Amino acid sequence: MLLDRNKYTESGYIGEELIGDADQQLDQRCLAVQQSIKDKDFSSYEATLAAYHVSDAQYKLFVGKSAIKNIFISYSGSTLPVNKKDFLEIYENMLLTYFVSPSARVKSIVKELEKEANEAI
Amino acid sequence: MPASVSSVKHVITEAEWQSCKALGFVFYAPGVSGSVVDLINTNFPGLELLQFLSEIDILLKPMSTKNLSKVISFKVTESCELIFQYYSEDYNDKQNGLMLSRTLIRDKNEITAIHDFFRIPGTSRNQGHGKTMLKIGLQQYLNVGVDLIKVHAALEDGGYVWAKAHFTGAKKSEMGLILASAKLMLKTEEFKKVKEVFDNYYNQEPNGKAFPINKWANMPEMETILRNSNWHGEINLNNQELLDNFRNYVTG
Repeated sequence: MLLDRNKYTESGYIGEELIGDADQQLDQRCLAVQQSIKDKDFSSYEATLAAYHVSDAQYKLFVGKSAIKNIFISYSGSTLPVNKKDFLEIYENMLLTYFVSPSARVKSIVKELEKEANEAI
Repeated sequence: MPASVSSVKHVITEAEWQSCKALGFVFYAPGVSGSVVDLINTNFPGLELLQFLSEIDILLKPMSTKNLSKVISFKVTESCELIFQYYSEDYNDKQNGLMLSRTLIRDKNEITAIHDFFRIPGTSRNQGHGKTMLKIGLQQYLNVGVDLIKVHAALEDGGYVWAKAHFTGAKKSEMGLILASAKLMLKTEEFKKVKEVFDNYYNQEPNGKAFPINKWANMPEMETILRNSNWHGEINLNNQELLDNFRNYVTG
């Protein structure tokens, strides 16, 4: 009635279909970069990127996407986008939090964000 | 289907078990006394049995035209084992057979889910059924409070795909063998990166049972080596980061 549980294994093709397309695989490599940075596997940021064949731009895009996802979850409890006004105000606050003494250029970005947020519904 | 924990623990009723039987499931537990309802409610509280078996049946039944066996078994040794098996009469046919086995084990310290085996007919592959089965299982593992999921990653490229799915390497000796293969097959510079990950983990955790083999799987040079590897993997569901990574991978 019961098959021998030690005789067989989980077929590889079952997991194969989880691997996903090129973009999803890149995201997984970026996640590995993030884990290796946290675990200090390699001597430098550049060496970590090289280990997983990820470029600086690709990793920064991944960090940006992750940060936005976290903003959505923190603000609305889901990964659905928050409305434009809220997002712009959060982004403005992020900038002002990071740039404690903002340069004129950063101030001008903040000003533009404020204008955009005020015009948004 | 979100894999999250129900706020109220499900309790199986006799009527629920009768519905499971109506789906064709039989209880086979020679030498074990007690009803399946009592055994599960006592040892694996929270399991939504009918939900679990219905989802498995809906997923697997259309895959085979052969006679199907649907078995729930229970074993009591030093631990309690609840076994689910679903298989076609031609299960041994690698191309057309259907067979699934999942085991929940409760011992003194923890509850473990073993992914014993899963084979689906060639005509049903690459259609997302593996992903669906993982989601179905994960929901119940969270309901029951499973601590660990275990898989034997081997054959048919399993060593690579389960590493990609965030299972961690449980045995240092097996990770050492993979490292040795890498040394033989990779260029010096490539091998150096692989070894750095190995050394960093085991220097900090000399007896570690959760080597992050996922890192190796995301180094393109390691794909061929891992596809030919044989290792025992685990996912610790109490590790929130690992759970999130696994859940995102399965549901993404």
